[in-house]
Amino acid sequence: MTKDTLIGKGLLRVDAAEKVTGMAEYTGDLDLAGVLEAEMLTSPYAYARIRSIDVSRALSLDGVIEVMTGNDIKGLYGPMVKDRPVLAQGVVRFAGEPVAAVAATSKQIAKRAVELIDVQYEQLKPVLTHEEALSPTAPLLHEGLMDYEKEITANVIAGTNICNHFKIRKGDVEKGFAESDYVLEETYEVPRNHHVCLETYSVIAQFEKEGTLHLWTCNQSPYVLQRALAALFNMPWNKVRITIPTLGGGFGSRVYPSVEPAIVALAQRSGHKPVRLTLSREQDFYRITNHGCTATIKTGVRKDGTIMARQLVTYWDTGAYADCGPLVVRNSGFTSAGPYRIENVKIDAYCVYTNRPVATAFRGYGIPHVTWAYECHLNRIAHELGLDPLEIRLKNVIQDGDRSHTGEKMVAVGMKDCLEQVAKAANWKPGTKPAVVDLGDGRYRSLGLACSWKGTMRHHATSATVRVLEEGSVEVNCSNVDMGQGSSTIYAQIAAEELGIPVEQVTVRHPDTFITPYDRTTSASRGTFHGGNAVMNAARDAWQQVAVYAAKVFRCHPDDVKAENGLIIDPETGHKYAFGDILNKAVIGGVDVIGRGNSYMEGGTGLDRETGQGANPTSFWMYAAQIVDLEVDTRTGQTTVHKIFAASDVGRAINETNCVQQIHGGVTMGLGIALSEELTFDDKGRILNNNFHDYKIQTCMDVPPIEAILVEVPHPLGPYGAKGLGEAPVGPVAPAVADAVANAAGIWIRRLPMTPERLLEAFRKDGK
Amino acid sequence: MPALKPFLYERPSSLEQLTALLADHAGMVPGYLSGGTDLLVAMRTGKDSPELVVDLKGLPNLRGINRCEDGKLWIGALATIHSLEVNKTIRSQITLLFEAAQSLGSWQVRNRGTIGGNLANGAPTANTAAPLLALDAEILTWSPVGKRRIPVASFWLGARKTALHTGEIITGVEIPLKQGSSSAYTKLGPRKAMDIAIASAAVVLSLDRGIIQEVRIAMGGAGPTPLRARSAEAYLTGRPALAENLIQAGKLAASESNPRTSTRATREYRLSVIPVLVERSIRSALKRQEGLVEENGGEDR
Repeated sequence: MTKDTLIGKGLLRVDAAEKVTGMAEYTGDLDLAGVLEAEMLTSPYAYARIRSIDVSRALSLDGVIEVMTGNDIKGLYGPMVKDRPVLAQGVVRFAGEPVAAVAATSKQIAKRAVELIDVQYEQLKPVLTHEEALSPTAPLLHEGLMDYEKEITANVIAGTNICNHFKIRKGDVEKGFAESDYVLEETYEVPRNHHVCLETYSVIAQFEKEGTLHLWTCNQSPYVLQRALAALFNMPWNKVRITIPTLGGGFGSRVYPSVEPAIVALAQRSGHKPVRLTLSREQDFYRITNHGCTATIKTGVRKDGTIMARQLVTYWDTGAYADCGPLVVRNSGFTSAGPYRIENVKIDAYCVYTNRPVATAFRGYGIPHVTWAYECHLNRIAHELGLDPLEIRLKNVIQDGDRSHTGEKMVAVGMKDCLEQVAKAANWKPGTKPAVVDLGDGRYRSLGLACSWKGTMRHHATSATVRVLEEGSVEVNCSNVDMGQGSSTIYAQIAAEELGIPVEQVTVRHPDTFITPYDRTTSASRGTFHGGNAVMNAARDAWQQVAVYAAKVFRCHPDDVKAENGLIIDPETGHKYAFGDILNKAVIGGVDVIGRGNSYMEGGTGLDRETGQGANPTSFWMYAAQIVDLEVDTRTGQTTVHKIFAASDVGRAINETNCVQQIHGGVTMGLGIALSEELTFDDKGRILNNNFHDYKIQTCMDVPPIEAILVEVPHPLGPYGAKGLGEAPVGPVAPAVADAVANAAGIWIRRLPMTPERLLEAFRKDGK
Repeated sequence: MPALKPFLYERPSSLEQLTALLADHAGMVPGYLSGGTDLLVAMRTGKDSPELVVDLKGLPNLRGINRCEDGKLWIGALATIHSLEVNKTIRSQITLLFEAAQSLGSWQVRNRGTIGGNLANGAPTANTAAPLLALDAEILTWSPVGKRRIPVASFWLGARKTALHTGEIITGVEIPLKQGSSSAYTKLGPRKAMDIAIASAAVVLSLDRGIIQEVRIAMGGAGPTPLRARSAEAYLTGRPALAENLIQAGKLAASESNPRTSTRATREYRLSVIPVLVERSIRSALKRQEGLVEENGGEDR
């Protein structure tokens, strides 16, 4: 509408002021009258039968309103496999599994009540690794696996602990290996780590007087939760109200129900009082984690670096309940051959139950895990062939018009652009190996390179409404959750752009299933693409209606009406009018306008269960390439990262600043995975470092300067050409760090994180 | 997270009140609160559950950093870690204590945490511990039965055990200031902030025409308490400041260490890095002397 477009501008985030001044209201900040505080009793054992539970002492404590155990609530839930009880049913499958729940008049009383519950367990030998779980003598952790309700994604294998086996079959890998000059097979490992949302999990449930269940929660996907709770508690969807206050991070850890069912059950038995559970940081670590993954990768190449065949077998430790593990395994399995043209591909990915805490999505749905494997592996192959890491990639990367390994005809592929632009920024010339600088005293500095891709796969529907109030202020309603990624700013910008109003006149509502329309999930970097399209379409619909009213007033054709800076222009006279003036003139007494917009992918094919083939499996792809400049101390194993150059293909930046921040955040997360983050477990399956003292995220003192490079290859179906971004920058960091370490000091690391101790051990083994 | 155990909270405003308070609650082991960066964490996780919490921040004369007439520097027990890193005397003359203070925790922790608390907590890797050991400092204490001066070398008795008696508080620390000496503190941890050292090395030395005159080396994380590397010190004393001698000193320091394996690092890793930290600390301290270390071109790896 306006010549001076808002699209691309690095506007300040719409929620910046309220967040930095502490005014933003998170779930834990809500002050509901008479709220009861909940606490859970969790299992100390990874695998045990529950012999008996005695809650009588807890119930007799003053201030205790309700104590529940698995005897009081039946039913199973889970997004992919309905395998999870609300509270343990006779057996506990991981240390930290909720066994009983208490509601009391204060948190302190609830905690004391939990300490008074007496549970007698019969310990069983826990299955703590995927190897143990796949052994023929392993117990079946879910004997009812075949009888559970499940989604089509969960390709379970009867009589095993495997809750998904994902496959891709393309060409003939054996033939490809035979035609290769060099074949390498290696195994790479990623341990479990944690999302570390700044806000710990918090949920409040209340049965309101009109029979509505009202839940306030810090979840990423209100509609997933609405439907899951409606099914579990046998309620119609329109009686389940999910309100999402300000969210303090998600990163995939909040897409599906976790502690909500137990709190709803407590609320159901606590009259009309609200019941709140806010987890401590220590509990939050047990609520959900990232998957651990072991990937065996085999690649055959020609002498010139052409990739002939690739085979991957990955095992994913998904923990005691499937949650979205089967989806993580599918979405990462789907991309795990890497962003390359490969004629012969064979992929087998297994999602395996163990007696560890539940694993879920983590910024990239397993992409960082497989990127670690395929990129380290490719760098090693380049080294063996005497090629440089950039050269081998430029030779093989997938490009416009290529068929992917699942048969998709690729469009708007920015992979090569990312590689070229990041190499230019870091002054890395193709065909030249990065130099090693000897800094003395055992310290060496060099560069490392890696890239990654991700298909969103979450091409489901998102709806939005845009309401133009008579005075010209605008409300955007969309249930895609702003978790900190900045989607509300993007939506405000899009609505303002379409309606010709200043962005300050737009308010983006918090998601609430009683108000904001349907959105499948806030996940898979889909907010800008799908939410953005929905908001854009809704704003266009609203403008059409405004234009019709204005045309009536101006006696012109609606197409000739324009707006600029919040004023509607009479095409005849050039006079400018406030929205209110026009709407009031057009309709006696005035009128508001509601525009509707949807976004969903037409013609999606899914993937064939046996071959993984599908010509249209994802609405868009993301591409990222990064170069790490680091120094390694071979005497202590310490690394000092000097700079990270990070290019991401964003299609088109709607908000340049937001895009840069997303890259900074993703790279920072990736750097933690690379260098310091690992959940450690004892031999009983308990987490040893569920606190910030021992679980080492990167601090602002550790994160180096990050040069974000926005590559813009417009997507034909994205709003203004834009597409998703958030997940892609995480994956390349660790393999690029490993490549720089290899270039600087000649050692090849295969397991994360690259702690000083692990690196020093590798230097020792290498005779450094 | 267990329920927080009930406790009494008292904030005496004089030592007389503290005496009376301890007498009134004889039989209770008081938990002393100054910055709270250790005590409150321990109470929250249930590792410590004192029935009586005594806030020392109301007591007079425990704050500040002053030069004494005898050429020593007195640091009050309630002096915050941040006040150490901005103190001019410490910055210019006790560089290792400055380095230890500025690498402790975060701004927030340094603003709350105190030197008295850092010492009384008894951790072998406490940032201020190894520097004070290398400085030959004295710890001043008070209890209802009297005052004591405890040489730092006899302050730590074992893992998290100090020479403090029940009820005894640290009132301050005294550090001898010596002309001509230089110092350095090197800390190794997985992060550059908010981290406890895996191991650390603190060195104070003086040099005369290239010959090391006096040297004291202290190590954190090398055993259950902060340790002096006495054989390394003896070896270096009277020797020229050559790279080969520094390497040898590092080796000797490691041989005097007896670190443990913990969740943070294995014994083997600590033993590998201690010689490097000691060597690098000596080198930094030497660089701060007028004459720089004479490199003899030795293999550095």
